[in-house]
Amino acid sequence: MLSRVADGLYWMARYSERTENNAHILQVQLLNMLEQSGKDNEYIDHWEAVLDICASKEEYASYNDHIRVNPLIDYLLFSETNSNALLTTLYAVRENARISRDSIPIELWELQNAFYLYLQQEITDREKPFPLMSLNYFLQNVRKTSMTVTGLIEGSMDRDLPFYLIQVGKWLERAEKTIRIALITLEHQQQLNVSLQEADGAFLLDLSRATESYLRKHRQTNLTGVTHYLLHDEHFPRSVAFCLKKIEEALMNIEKDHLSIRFLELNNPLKALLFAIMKFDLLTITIEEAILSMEERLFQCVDLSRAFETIYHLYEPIEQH
Amino acid sequence: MVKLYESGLFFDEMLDGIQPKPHYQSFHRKLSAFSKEQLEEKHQQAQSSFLRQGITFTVYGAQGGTERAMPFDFVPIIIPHEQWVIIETGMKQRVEALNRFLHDVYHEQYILEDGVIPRLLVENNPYYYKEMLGVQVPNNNHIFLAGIDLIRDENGVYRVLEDNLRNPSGMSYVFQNRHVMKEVYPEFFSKHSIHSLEKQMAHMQEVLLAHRPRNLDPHSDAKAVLLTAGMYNSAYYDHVFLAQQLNIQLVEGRDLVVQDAKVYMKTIYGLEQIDIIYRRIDDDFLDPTVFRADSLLGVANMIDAYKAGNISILNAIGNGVADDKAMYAYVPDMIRYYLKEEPILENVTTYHLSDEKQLAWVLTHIQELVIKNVGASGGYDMLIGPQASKEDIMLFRKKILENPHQYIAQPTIQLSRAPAYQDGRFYPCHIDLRVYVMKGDDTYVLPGGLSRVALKEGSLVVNSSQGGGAKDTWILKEESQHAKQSSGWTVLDGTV
Repeated sequence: MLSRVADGLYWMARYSERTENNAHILQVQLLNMLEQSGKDNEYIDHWEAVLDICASKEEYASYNDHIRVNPLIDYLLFSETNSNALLTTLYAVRENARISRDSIPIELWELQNAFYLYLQQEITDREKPFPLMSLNYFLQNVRKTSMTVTGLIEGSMDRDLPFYLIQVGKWLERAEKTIRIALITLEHQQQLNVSLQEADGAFLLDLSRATESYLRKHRQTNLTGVTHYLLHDEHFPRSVAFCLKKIEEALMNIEKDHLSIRFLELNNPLKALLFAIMKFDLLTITIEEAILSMEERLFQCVDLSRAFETIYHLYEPIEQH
Repeated sequence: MVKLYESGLFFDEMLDGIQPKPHYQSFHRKLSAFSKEQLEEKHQQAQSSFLRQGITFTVYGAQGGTERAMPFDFVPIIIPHEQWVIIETGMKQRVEALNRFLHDVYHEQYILEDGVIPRLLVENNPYYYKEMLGVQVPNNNHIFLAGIDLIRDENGVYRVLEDNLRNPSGMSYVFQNRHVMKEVYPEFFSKHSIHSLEKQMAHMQEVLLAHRPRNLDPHSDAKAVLLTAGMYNSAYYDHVFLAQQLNIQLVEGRDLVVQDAKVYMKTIYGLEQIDIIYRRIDDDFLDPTVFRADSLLGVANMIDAYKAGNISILNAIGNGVADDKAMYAYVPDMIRYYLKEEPILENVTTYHLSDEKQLAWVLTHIQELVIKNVGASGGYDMLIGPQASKEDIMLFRKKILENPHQYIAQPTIQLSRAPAYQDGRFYPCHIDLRVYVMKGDDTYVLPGGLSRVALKEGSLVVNSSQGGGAKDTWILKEESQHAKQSSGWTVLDGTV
């Protein structure tokens, strides 16, 4: 497979996963805001966390003096200055699908293309700021499309190189996101000065779309229990451990020879990351140590992505003169 | 029965006066069964199908590129079997002669020695590449895919308007038009037996893979790729479609690299050698070390690999010398010279403005003529005399006098018309037909081709960049055809 096409598949999957995650997080926060109206501070705090998870607080601060809800929503959804705005990531999904369209099901390309076209229309036709209800509807639509995309990939793609490249992109993105959400929540907690044992993890569960799964198995939503669940659980498909196992599975299929240098160069750091994740125990460390540890895991994740991109020549080839 | 319009002084594909011609009667009956609302709904459905599939071309304007679907018109062009047989034979004849001409001008140059074609016309042609002199191409075949544009004049006589031997595009539309037609207008197909397009891609693949580079081990399979300029190219959809159908990789210049005069593509597992490049970028951009140094689309040193016999490039480099508008006038002479046959398909009369006598005549009759730049395509730099303003005529007069070699003149032909349906009504539009010829060990003519229609009422320009649309083209099968020659028809037999 051409490196350029592989690059397209991998990034299509990453951006697709990022779009879905961000849409979910925004939706959670919008609904949260409805309940919290009145207590201004709390929801601004939450918005700040959301900004940190879905984009970059520093980047936002360079364009805005302080956080206000409407401009922030606009920033997270539509702003051209935000490289992770929903519209931007959706555009990236579509363009990467276009690059790799001879390796994906025709319906998948058509779906991504039609959705992007619909969205553009929607945005040009409507007045801003969007009313809350239509924002919610719009986010719902983003998520529904993502589900259809996942279904199409799972249900109709050959278990072949393109499929596994998509898998690597998807699970890497998801693992990174879960770690990031945990990290931001811990940082947030640190500022509140509440002891870890007393802290509540309900918002973290919501953000990671884990509430349903978690409550089936546990009664209490304390932050420690929730964080461990999100990092360690074997069966929950958004836990870091789960994601890393999926990446390993995909790598084993991309590289048939499991003693090859290429495989080992990826599998060793993957194993090290999994080991560090499993070793993480909030009951035995301070919050500062926990934050530091999460930061290290995030770097490991980023390094793993880089290694993957380099080994399979996914970077844009340099122009030939 | 619906009344569409009166065919008038033009030759109409479907109508004689207000009556449908015999081979359109069945279609016309079906058409009458639809309500206006149904037609409108189907029309919308068809357009959105193209947009959703991303079958679009990019229109560049003030605000960057916008994507548009080529407007599709559902009224097909139906061609009776006997007529198609003539077109098909004429196409094969023409492409054979053009191919021999290309081989000749890059090798022995007999036709120039014998004075059939002025040597200067070849040697001064900007698409004639001295670098290609003596270069051996596989099977001596320079034309893998030709797109020959046909029109019909006011008497219904088919004439060749233009040869495209470099990178004819639009073949994917032929397939997509048929696909959408079957999906959205299945009703029309009953009672018609038409040539299917199913097997055509297998022919194209066979023809493509026949171009084995001379150094390729006879026992190994040739590995082919389609070289595209990338997804922002206006014909990108065409490239994607063909690569998919031909089951070959779609590559960009940056995916390829030349080492030791061999061409490799960059895959995730490293470099992989390739043998055949069906390129969809122009000669000038192929290799920055030989042609345009600023090209980012091509591959450095590709021409070395080509000359060394390690790679085939299709269509061959330098085909432009045979398909510009000045050389066009000599194609009938090529046919007589190389094949010792009379041309089956006629040209449109063409005046060379480098000839003083013809120039003088043209300048006094410019209002009646069409003036074309020999190097331009897509309907650009062209004057349609009867429709032109005084200023435009003055401008072209000046351009011609400054550079007479650059222009040719042709009589304005009353292009034939066919009904089109847009905005809830039927009206007559001018049409032409691009026929695709695939040549390898055997020559195949795609049954039908791309019928292009000038949807702006009265317009003669069918190019998609200028408001043109497309129609499905049906070639009726012999046995089931209930059409009889209507009295007003001129049969094409090469002697009309």
